[in-house]
Order: sequence, then structure tokens, then C-alpha cells
Amino acid sequence: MSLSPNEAAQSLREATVIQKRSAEVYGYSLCAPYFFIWGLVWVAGYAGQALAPARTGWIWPGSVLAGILATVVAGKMQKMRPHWRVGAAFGLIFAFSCALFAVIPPRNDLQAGAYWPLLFAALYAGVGLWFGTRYMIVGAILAAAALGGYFFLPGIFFLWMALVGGGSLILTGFWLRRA
Amino acid sequence: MEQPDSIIHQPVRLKIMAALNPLPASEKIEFVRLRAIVAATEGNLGAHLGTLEQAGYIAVEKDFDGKKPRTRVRLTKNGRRAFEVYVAYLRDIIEG
Repeated sequence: MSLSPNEAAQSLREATVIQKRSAEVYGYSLCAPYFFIWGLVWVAGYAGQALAPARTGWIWPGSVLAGILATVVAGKMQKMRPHWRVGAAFGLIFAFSCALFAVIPPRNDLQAGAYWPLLFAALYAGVGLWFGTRYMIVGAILAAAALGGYFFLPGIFFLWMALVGGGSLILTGFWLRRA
Repeated sequence: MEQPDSIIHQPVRLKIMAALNPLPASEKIEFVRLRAIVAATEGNLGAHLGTLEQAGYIAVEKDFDGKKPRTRVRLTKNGRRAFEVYVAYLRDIIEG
């Protein structure tokens, strides 16, 4: 029943591939609810901005706050212990964005509205380099949606981002859950 | 060189153990998802799960998700240890 070094290497390679695939699928199933939640936040935020631009000042903070609360609840349902680094990472992203806007202020709402999806598209794509190609794909879709909307559909950009950006995140949630 | 664990030595069972190993201790994986990862047929996977369960390497839980019957599998402490020993055995052979 003993193995040759080549057979052992082959078995180990196969086991490693399966372990990586399993970890990836497990990660997808954990992340799926958060894509649903933040997809809904995008739909609410961008649709609110499109339909009631004068109320953007409270629509976005309200949507994001609801998203944070839903994220915390989903984490508790998954029995995940929140790690301070997760909150700190988002704090850093926010601080970076504030600093960037202080140095290079957006000239209009359209630029500010395109910045966030492009930032998160890059973050998802970066996460995908390590943890699974599906994150890279959603990053590419969000970037394409943001750039396409910004350059070709400026008149309906916010509605476009609500439907295509938020919708993509919600569909990604389904896609990850079915992985 | 000592003989390998004959339970895990079988290729499909090695794949099952490899699929369960990255999950946290109490985490279960659904049969359907496991079948997709291991790329085995339903009957084949069921038979090998039975062997692993008899050996005490995995625990199989059957329940209902609403009205749908559901089978979930998790690695036991003994199973995790046996998998680590088997991987060490493979590494020993490779490194001579």
C-alpha cells in the first residue's frame, strides 16, 4: 500500500487543490449575506439620491447606518466574533477618502458618486487575488458600471448605479450562496 | 516507512477529508456542496462518507431545512488529527 514519491506528490497536490477550493466556497457562503445587505444599501442610497437629491445628506448616512446594523446582526447570526481589524479597515478607507477629498475635492455629485463604487471595485478585485475569482469578477462589474455610467449615462448615473451597481451586489450574494 | 491510514488512503476519501479540513471545528458542510467540491457521484460519496463515519473521522447529521431533507457533514477531532498524520506521511515520502 506504500506510495512512490511521485504518487505521494500527486495525492498531496490533489488534497491541496481541494482544500483551497473548499476554503474558497466556505468564504463565499460566509460573505453572501453581506453582499445582499450592501446591495440593498446601494439601491436605497443611489435611488434616494436620484429621486430626492435634496435629501442626499441624510439618505446616504441613514442607508449606511442601516447597512452597518444589518451587518452586525448577520455576523451574530453566523456566530462570528467581530474582529476590531474589520472595523479599523473600513475606518482607514473612510479616513483615506476624506483626506483624498480634502486634497482633490470632487467638483460635483457625479464625481463623488462614482468614487465610492470605483474604490470598492478595486477592493473587491484585490480581495479576489487572494480569496477567490468571484470577488474579482464583481469588482470588474462594479468598475465597468461606475465608469460606463459616469462617461456615457451622466443624466441617469445615480439611478443606473442603484439598478446596476446595487443589483450586481445583490445578485453576487445569490451567486456566492450557490457556490 | 510505516503504512498509511488505509481509511484516508482511498482517493475519494482523501478528497473528502481535504474538503472538510479547512472548515472551523464545529462547521458543517452540506452534502450537495461537498459533492460539488469533491466531484463525486451521489452514491459514491454516500458510501465513502459511511466508511469515514464508521472510522469516527466525520460526523453525519441528517435533519430538515424547512420541508427539505438535509445531510450535513463535519470533521471530528480524530478525523482532523488523522488527516494531519496522513499529510505528514505524504510529505515524508516526498522528502525521502
